Amino acid sequence: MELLRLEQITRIFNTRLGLKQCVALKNIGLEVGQGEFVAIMGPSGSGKSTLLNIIASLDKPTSGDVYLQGKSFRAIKDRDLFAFRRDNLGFVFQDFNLLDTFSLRDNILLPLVLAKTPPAEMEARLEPVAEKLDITGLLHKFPCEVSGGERQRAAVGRAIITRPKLLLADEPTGALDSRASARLLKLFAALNGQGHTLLMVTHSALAASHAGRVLFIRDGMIHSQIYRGESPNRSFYERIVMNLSVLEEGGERVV
Amino acid sequence: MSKAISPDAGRLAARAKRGGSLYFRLALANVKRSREIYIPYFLAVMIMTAVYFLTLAMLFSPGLAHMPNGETTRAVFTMCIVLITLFCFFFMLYINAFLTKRRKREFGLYSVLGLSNAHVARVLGWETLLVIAAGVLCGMAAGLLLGRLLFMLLLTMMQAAAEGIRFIVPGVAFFGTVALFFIIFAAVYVMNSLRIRLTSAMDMLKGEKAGEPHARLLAPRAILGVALLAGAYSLAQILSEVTAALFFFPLAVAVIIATYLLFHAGSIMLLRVLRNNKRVYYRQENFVAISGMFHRMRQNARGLAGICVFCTMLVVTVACTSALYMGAESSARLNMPYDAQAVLETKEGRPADIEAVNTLMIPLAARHGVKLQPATTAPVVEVTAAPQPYGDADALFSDSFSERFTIWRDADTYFAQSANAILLDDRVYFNLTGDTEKCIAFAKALQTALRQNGHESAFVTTIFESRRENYALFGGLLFLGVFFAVLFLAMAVLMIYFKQITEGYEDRERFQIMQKVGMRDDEVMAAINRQILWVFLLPLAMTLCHALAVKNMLVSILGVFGMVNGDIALYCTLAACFVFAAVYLFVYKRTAKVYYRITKSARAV
Ligand SMILES: Nc1ncnc2c1ncn2[C@@H]1O[C@H](COP(=O)(O)OP(=O)(O)OP(=O)(O)O)[C@@H](O)[C@H]1O
Ligand SMILES: [Mg+2]
Repeated sequence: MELLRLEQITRIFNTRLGLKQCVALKNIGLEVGQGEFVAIMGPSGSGKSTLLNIIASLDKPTSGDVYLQGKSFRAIKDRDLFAFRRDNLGFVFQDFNLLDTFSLRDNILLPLVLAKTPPAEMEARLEPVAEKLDITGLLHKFPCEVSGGERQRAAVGRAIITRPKLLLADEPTGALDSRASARLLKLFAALNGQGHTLLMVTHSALAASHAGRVLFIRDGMIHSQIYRGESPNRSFYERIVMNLSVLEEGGERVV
Repeated sequence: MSKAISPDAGRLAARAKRGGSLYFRLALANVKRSREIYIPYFLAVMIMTAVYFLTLAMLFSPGLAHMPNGETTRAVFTMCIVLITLFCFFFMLYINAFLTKRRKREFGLYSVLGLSNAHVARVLGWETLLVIAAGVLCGMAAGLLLGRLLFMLLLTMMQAAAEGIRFIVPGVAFFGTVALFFIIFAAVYVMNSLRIRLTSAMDMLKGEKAGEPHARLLAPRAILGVALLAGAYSLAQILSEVTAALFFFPLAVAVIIATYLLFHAGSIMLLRVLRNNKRVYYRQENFVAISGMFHRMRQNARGLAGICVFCTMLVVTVACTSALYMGAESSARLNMPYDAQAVLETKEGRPADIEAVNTLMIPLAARHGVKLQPATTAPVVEVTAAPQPYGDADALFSDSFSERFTIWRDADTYFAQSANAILLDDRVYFNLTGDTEKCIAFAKALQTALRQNGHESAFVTTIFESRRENYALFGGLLFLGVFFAVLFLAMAVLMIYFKQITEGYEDRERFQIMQKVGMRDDEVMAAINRQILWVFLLPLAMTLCHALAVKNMLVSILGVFGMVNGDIALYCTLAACFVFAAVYLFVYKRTAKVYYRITKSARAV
């Protein structure tokens, strides 16, 4: 079943004084099904973050539209966009973006508080999430008192506690070491197993090999995409690496 | 963070390693680029300079010695100089720490670019020198202007003529101001160099983050704060005139300590209680505000207590001096129920002859151009035969609350009345209207005339003289009051201003995150409003509370100055509170704009 659809997304940035225009995305079309785990890869400056921000409704496309469960983003009023984002989308950022004045518990509960959820239900939701992320013992701590990996897991907790339709992550392992990264990716795979739909931007082929589909972007266009199919992580990883080298060399599409 | 360093600065940095004057150019470029921090810094230096310069100029001005109560005034000014010096010193260190913290990243980048820590310290040294020098120059110019203005105000208040008196700034004021700020600059330079030398590039590139306050002994400290304040307040209610002056200083210290304890331990305790109440805490409108305040109170309790103390001093000073000034008339009336009185010499208890005095007075008055008023019109006199409360038979009891004067006399007191005067034993009381100088001259002439006419030791006094003295004294005091009010206000405004800026930068990132998580723009606004409003209302509320609590004590102390009208003191305190609250809210509104501007970039997605 289709969850997300992008139609002819183009994003043009006006650089300083509007003298020069920078086309970050060109006619991007994409469909993501319910329960998919999609990784997005591409060289620096290829437009990955721009794409993710548009899907996240943090940015608006110059032309084209995004549909979530058939609902057009353009049809949502600016005022309602925040609530829409809160209710439907979860976010994980490269630099965690936790609030340093809140404990991990309060950071995770923040979207629920904004949605005016009753305290009893908050507790009920927090418990399984913390358990899943293995941070139950750390909830009373503040972000500066825990490790980067733990911070990122808390950020994931904040992203999934609203039970979003779509979980978006921009280089979530960018600031983590390999062990913490592996742990986070396993967590993502597990979340995907439980029915979450994930969209993750990454530079790491290893990270991408946990996904079910990898999208390669270059110069603001979808260059190619590969599906895992039935292949195990290992061989999928090799295919990704191969595809990446083709992408770097500017070669032809491999599907 | 937009751009940590400009490309130009990067190029200069690379060259600065070689050429010496490049440090200066790099510093100049940095000052221009970091104006969002350096403009407030400059303003702070300017205000402090102006205040310090003015106070020094006053202290060493030749006119001070000739003022009534010149010695007391000098002592008060000396105390204030000490206070301001300390304030300037520590406040500069505070804003400097704020500045270097903001630019930590940039310094880290310089190290990466290949400037050694010593070089970075030198560049920063040039920057601070530039800004401080500019601030001191402008501050002294502002001080000169303001001084002229204040001087004119002083003359008006003292109801004195301006002939022969000029506003001269002694050279020592220039010298002292420059010396102080040079010392401050040296201290800042040493601090910065040490700080930069002691931190590695790695540390600098990392930002620091907030956490849970580790304050211990919160409950005992909060209780101590409450106890101290309660004690001070209740003591202020029961002190008499003599003890009030004696206990003033210890009481002030107790109130200051209590203020700090309450702001720090007390507010953290309260917020903790609120935070532990899930129903209250996990509500959208409280969530952000409570945690924000929690974080803020830990950081800013000292700053807020400082603002509160300065504001309380301001209100008390204005209330006292304006009460004295407003009460100048009634305190002159205190010993003078009538405009003038003549004490005559009597022979063996024989009462004086009022008609004789009367016939002397009338032509004299005509010659001096003053008018004698019928003695029985205002102030109203009641002659009673009730047992008088004082030892003297002719004691006059003035009740300044109702402007009625009662003359107590018993059967032995001789009382007589003519058209223009009344007589009690050997004293003649009468009322006068006319020009002040003419009235005083008339009194002198009358005294001479009386002495020539059989009353060799006659003595005539008028209310006009005591009025003149009172206005000189209390006008001078009111001027001092206004001066110190301006001074305390400047300090409080500076502290408030810097709080807004610091917090704006800190909160900018937080609000960005909240918006990404799905907080609406107007919700963010509401959270900001609630948070800063509370933080700023707190010192205001506490200030008003302090001022009203010590009101009784102020009345007692004012009594020492001959001020007995408690009503005037009360009204002046209330008026001072009211005016202060208005000014405070105005300052808050203005400075909150700075905060909104800084966080705006976060709010506009
Ligand atoms: N706000 C902006 N204004 C102007 N140009 C922008 C803006 N944001 C992005 N761009 C440009 O759009 C292009 C795509 O940027 P984007 O951040 O999406 O790249 P990316 O694929 O995420 O790169 P990286 O892997 O380095 O994060 C870049 O050329 C960038 O310069
Ligand atoms: Mg990116």
